[in-house]
Amino acid sequence: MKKLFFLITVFLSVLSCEESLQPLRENKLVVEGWIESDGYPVVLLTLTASPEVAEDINLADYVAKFAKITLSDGDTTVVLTGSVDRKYYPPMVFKTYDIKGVAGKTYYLTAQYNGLEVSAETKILEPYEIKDVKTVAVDDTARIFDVEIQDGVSPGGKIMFFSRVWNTETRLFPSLFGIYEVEENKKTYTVYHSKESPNFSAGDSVSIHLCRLDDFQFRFWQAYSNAVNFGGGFVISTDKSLPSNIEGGYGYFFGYGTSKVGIVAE
Amino acid sequence: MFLLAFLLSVFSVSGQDTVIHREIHEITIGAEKKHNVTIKDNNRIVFSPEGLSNTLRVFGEADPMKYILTLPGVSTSSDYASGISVQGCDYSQTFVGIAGAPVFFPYHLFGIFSVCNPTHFADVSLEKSIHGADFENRLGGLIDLRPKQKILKHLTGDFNVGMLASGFTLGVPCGKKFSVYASSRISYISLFYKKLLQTGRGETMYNFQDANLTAVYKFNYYNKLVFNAFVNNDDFSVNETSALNLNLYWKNSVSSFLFEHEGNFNFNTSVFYSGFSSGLRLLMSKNTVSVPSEISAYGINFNSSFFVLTDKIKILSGFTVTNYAVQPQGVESDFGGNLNPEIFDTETKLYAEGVLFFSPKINLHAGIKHSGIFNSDYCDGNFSPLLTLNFEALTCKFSAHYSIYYQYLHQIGFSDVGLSTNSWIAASGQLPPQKANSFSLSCLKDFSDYQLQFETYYKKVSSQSEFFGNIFDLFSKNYCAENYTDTGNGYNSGFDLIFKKNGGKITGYVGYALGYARRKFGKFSDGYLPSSNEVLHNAKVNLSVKIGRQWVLSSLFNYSYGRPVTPIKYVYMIGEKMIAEYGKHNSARMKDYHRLDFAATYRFCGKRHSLVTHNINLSVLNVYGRKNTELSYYKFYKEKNQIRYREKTSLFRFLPSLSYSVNF
Repeated sequence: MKKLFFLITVFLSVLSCEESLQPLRENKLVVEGWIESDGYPVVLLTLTASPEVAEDINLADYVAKFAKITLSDGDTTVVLTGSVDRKYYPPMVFKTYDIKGVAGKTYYLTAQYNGLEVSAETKILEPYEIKDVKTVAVDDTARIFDVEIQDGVSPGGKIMFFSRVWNTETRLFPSLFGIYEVEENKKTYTVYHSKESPNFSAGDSVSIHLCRLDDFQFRFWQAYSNAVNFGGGFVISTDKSLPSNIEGGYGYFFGYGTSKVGIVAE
Repeated sequence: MFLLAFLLSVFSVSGQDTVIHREIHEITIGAEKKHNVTIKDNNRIVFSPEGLSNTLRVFGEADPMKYILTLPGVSTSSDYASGISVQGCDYSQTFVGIAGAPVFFPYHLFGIFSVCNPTHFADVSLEKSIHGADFENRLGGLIDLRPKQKILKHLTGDFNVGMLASGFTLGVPCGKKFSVYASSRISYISLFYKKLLQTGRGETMYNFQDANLTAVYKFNYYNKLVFNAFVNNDDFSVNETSALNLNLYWKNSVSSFLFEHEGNFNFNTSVFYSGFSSGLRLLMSKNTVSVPSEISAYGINFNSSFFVLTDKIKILSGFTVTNYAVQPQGVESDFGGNLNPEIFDTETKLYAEGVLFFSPKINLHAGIKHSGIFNSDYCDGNFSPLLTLNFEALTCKFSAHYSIYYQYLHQIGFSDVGLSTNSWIAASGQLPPQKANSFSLSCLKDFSDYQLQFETYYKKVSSQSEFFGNIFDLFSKNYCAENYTDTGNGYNSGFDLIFKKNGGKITGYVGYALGYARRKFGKFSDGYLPSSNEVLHNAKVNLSVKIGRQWVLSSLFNYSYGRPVTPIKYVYMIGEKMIAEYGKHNSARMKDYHRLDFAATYRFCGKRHSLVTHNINLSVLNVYGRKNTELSYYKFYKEKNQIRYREKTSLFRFLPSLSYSVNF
């Protein structure tokens, strides 16, 4: 119901063609976007919120609703279409089906909104294949997965797992501790769920994406995991901002060489 | 071997009943009036922890380290911080030692109280910026905990029952020359103060134990041998979810043999060991992520002093050789990471200092120290001059001091409040030794029961370390802490002022400190910014009133200007999580901190002429309930589509504690 209310709020503000809150000059655009090999691009565009403005920040005011986002693969340039998609949060997503991710290609993104402009560049690396996935029973109801990757991956290669539980989640999320540097003679890596719920449940239908990362992406996701899993406490203090490959803004636009697998946690 | 030979030579000398004839012209025999807290030469503040038992207690413990924090110029960054910053220096730059042996992390959880069992120690002293040439290789202050060493004639005991922990100290005479003191404490924090442990993330559990042992053998009037041992063990856990537990643990173990000779040629020599191990564990359903680190030090120490030229010149000299074994912080887990091999270093200190007594009112300390560190890959040594001029004028004692200090250990880590997870590493080619050029000027005026002390200082520091990594960096196979540590320079400057009343029914002090601690690190700032330990203004008022023979009422008011904090410039959403974009490091301030604590102690004896004394102490921290901010942050509420500003305030509000102690 609350999601629906939020959705209606965003929708009405789109229809009214008026911003409920003009972004402050100093606010910046935030990109959350990716393109996987053999997949289509997905981009969420929001604005930063300045804590000085108000103690309570209404996120609906910080969605970039009428943005112009273009994506180029060097040969083709397309304008992404914005639409409301409740699978994502905030539920305003820019997509196109005219460009598909290809390993080895470089992609260029630009976004313009209300006088602000950002750009990003990313390259999709050749994916590492998933050789096998096994469910590991932690107890009667809790499950995790062991994923075996292909032979021949050089030590030091960077990988990351994203997962989605189909009956409870509408998108992929980074797996808890799911960022690895490939080790010599180690082919099997554990996939947990999230910090709030480290284990999957028996019977869950789960999508697992194995993404190959470059060095910058690896650094970004490490910093992100540190901030969301450990930040804001006494034991581990963090006051370091995330790195970003968005020129003129924040966030990320990454291309991943991806292998996918679907499995039911038995 | 050296120590053995030395001891044997001393025993052989003392065994010959040598009589030393010396002509003396005139002597004055006097007794120093015993105060709870006195200010001595070099502005050394000395107090007896037992004397604190009638004053303010924190959770029922009259903790000497907490008392030190009430003095001007000494601070900590939070109610939950584990560390003592002296005149803006980092926590790791303060040397804390038991009878000279280092204690690497002398705190129980969140600095609630220290590992120093107050009834085990005869006196505790604090040196801020004026040190002798024998000062350890540190840049900041010195806290020296001296265990009781008196040869007992009868059994003595102190038992303390508090609401957080209980402990005892027993002094046992074993013949005319030998006495043993044993102390131990155990906690039950979850019983009354469970709320203090709540992190808002799940069930918590905390336990600690500590124990001290001191054995004193006095050969004769001139010679004694002292054995000291100390151990503590702390374990803290948070069950974040049913499948994710966080566990913090740490342990100190310290032991030393100390031989002291007093005579025309005074000397003491000791061999010591100090080990500190700590770790952070994330216990998951199948895997454990373990982040351990360890440092151990063993060494030998020798100090001597004697007069030459008819007592006009006093010569002090000595050396310390310390061998470190450092296990750098790393990760053991199935997710990656590895533990780098132990690193072995040898640190040295060799010094000589002459004290020239120009007149009873003027003396000059001139010294030179050579300190250094070496291992198989790295070697560094430095000379440090020292000059201290003491003189009396206008009924005041003035001291002017200059010295260069070096520190060959760095402490780095993830915690801003100095938790045990911050680890030690030795200086290396990549992380050079810390250095300070220190100037200070002090004035002490004694009049009757009053003392007025003023001390101003300027300390230029270099090669300061700041860790910029995160816990995921440790998972890298090639992780090396030095690669994630930035070095910078800066300065500490300011002054401390204290006006004390030591005698009479009303005792106490008024103190004020002004302090700047500025640092410049290449990666964090392009100019000097406040260090986390800067307390710009700090005022303290302590009053203690004796009512009759049995009641003592005490109060302490503490005001601190807001401590530096890194501001949040923006917040934004990534992956349905709120992310903060931070501004310049430590470029904003928290709200000002202040609170008033109050204590009432009722003291009574059993039967008439009984040696047994009972104390009942009621203390209330923050009696007017000031909400002092510990953390400010933004929290994302998905169901409301809102990000809200939140403050975590100190739980030290209206916080009562009741304790009972008995001593005989």
